[in-house]
Amino acid sequence: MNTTLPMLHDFSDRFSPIVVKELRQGLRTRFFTSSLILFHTIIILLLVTVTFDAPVEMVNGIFWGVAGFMLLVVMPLRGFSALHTEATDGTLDMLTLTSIASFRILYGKWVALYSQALLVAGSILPYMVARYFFGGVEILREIVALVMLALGSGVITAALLAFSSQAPVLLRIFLALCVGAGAVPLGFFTAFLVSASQADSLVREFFALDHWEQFSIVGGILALVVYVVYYFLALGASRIAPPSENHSTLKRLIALAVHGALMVTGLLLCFLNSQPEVAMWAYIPLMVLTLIVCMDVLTEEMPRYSTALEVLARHGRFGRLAGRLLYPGWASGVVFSAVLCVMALSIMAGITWRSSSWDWDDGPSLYMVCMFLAVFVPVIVRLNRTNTFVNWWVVQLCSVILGIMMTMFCLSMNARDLGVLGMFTPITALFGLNCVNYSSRQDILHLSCIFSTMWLIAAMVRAATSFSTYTTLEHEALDQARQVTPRANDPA
Amino acid sequence: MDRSQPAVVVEDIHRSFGSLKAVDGVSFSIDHGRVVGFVGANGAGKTTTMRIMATLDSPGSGRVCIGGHNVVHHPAKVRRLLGWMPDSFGTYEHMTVLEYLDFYARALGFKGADRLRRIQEVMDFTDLTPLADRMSNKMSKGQTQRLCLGRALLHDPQILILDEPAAGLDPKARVELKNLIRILAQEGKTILISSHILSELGEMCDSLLFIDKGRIVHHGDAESMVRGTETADETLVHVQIAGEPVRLIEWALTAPMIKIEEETKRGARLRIQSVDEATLAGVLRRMIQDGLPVLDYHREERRLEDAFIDMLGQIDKNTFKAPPPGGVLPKNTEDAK
Repeated sequence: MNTTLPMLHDFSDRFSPIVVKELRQGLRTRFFTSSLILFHTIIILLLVTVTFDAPVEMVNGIFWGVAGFMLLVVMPLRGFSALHTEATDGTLDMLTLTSIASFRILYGKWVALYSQALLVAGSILPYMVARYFFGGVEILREIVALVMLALGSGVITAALLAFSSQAPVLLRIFLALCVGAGAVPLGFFTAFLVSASQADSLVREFFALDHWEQFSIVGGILALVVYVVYYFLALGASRIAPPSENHSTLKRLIALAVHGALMVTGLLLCFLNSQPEVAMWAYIPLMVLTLIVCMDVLTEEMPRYSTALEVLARHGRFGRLAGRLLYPGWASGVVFSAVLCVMALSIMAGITWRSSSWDWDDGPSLYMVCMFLAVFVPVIVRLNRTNTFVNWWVVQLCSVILGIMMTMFCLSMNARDLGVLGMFTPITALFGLNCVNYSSRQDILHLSCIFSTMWLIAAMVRAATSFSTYTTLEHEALDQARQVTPRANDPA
Repeated sequence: MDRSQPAVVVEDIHRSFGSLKAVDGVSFSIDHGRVVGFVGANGAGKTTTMRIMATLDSPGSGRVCIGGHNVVHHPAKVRRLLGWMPDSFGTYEHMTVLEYLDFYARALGFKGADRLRRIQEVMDFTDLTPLADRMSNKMSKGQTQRLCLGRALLHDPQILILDEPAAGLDPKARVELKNLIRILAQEGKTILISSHILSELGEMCDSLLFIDKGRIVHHGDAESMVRGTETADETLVHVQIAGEPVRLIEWALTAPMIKIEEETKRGARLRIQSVDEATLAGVLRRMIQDGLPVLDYHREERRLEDAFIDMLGQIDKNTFKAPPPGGVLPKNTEDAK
């Protein structure tokens, strides 16, 4: 040996290698250090202004604006091209060869990025205490706001990481904007918490609840955050995994469990509560999750190797039947998506069922039917034949643009009845309904639902024809299982 | 690993990207401890074949077994046996050489003192120890390639797949890399190495695989390659004379059975339409008799590069006949034809 190397003591062996690598790199990046320094400089300057009798509301607003921007925008943005960079640099291949599973790569990257975000969140605490010292600050509400921002940061980071597996930069920018739009309600809620006096009553109402109710709410929110983070990471992992691996079955099983739990919660809230609209608290997250999961499973590539199917194929007829729901690929994704949509719509149906005690007709439910059926359109319309993920988004975007143009045309030409033309696709139908006269809206809504259902039926037919791929691979998997003997399998 | 079977078996693999057939029925096998060169023009299918062997891509059809394990069905087992060095790879920013190797050693399951010991061994072997604290993305191409080789060797794989390891290296770095590969070959590792520098491959490898348009067109040692593409009734001679070479050119233009292949600084390369040694000696005698001050007259050995280019030309004209393979099991179907 030439010289003795120094032992690297910065991270224990217990840490995941990816976490170690990402933290070593991440903490040294100019982006992280400069944004952290800039952030603290702004916050310190802000605190200094308090001593000069600056309005507390203004200081609060800027403080939380900067903190929110840092946690919801700056820190998650570091995941924007994380996987794409690994792929183009060729380092993703090196990681694959180390036998680190794709999910662990995503998880490691997320842990490293999120721990840096938590570092930033933690560094805000002393300033919160200082502002509390100067007065005019409700510390409990602020802590809740900080926790909400931190949770939101985790979800956004996971989403951006998952989407970073996509090569087209325009698509990634578009998806990042969509994620950003999804974070706007969280921003508003945080602003409400830290600035509005009504937030006090909200906090008081929460503490007035029973312990189990408090636990249910907090536990439910945390469980949802964990699931959404898991799902996004699993989505990204399935996009970078070798085609011979199955990253879909487990993901779908967990999705079924979570969506089922939300559906049951929603139905219980609907039928056991005097106010069925309370079930919307379960329905809204279920709706968002259903759309995300459908987008994912409907854009999965069909499997090419029997190894991706062997887990279920070896469990006899029941396993193969379950495979039509759980195998990787868009064909089983159509069936799976249909099941998830029915689960979500069951809550809406429940609320409509109990509408006698509440001002609710079947309109919102039918709107939702149209919205859910929109996810199936890209299965039939293939504008991009090589990348189903890109295709899904392009088709939806084109539908929205078409809908907006149709609405503008109808309104500018004062030809409101032309909105009927939109009913041929679910998304344009939703736009068209806003154009038509109120008296005929309900009839057109029914017609739109019927036309939209045609897309589902067409997608089902297309999926059924593609099931032959599964059948072929199932036979291969069974043949493989018969051929493989322990002797041939084990290294000599 | 079962050493009674070949280390690598590739059977009739196909891989297409859209309408492009990148690999079209490639078959070959490599015995344990052999060093095999993989030769082909850009886009011939070398990297795709190697990526499939390294479990980084999957064949559309066909079978690849490394150490007896199918790369599609048992990728994890294959990865344990395999070291892969790609043609181009990005090092990580903000990470020293030691941290880089430490990360991969962790990822490969090395823990504590074992990890440090293995990193130390690899760094000593690749002479990277003095660069331990250097940022891995701030090194020369040669150093980066050594780092990449070090990474590929961390888990002491028995089979190495090296894709263009010498590309872009200066002569010194190329010699260093060649020496490292030579040592690895002496240790009994099975090595598949692709390169454009055919003369070096000829020196290093036991045999060569030639691929063109996704098909293996020749499988054998360098000599059989050179012999196989030689035109049977011609000989290339290099002649140097004292004084102006124009005299030689004028002489050659009027001489029978002689064509000028290339003018050189002090003479010319002449193509004589005979392989008979007496005829070649007669040409030299005539030169001297005609008053040419001949300083040097020798038969040129064909270079591997020339043989390869001739072979590609013959394939394009459908006149190529594959020579009998030497050294490696003749698995390729094209060879059989």
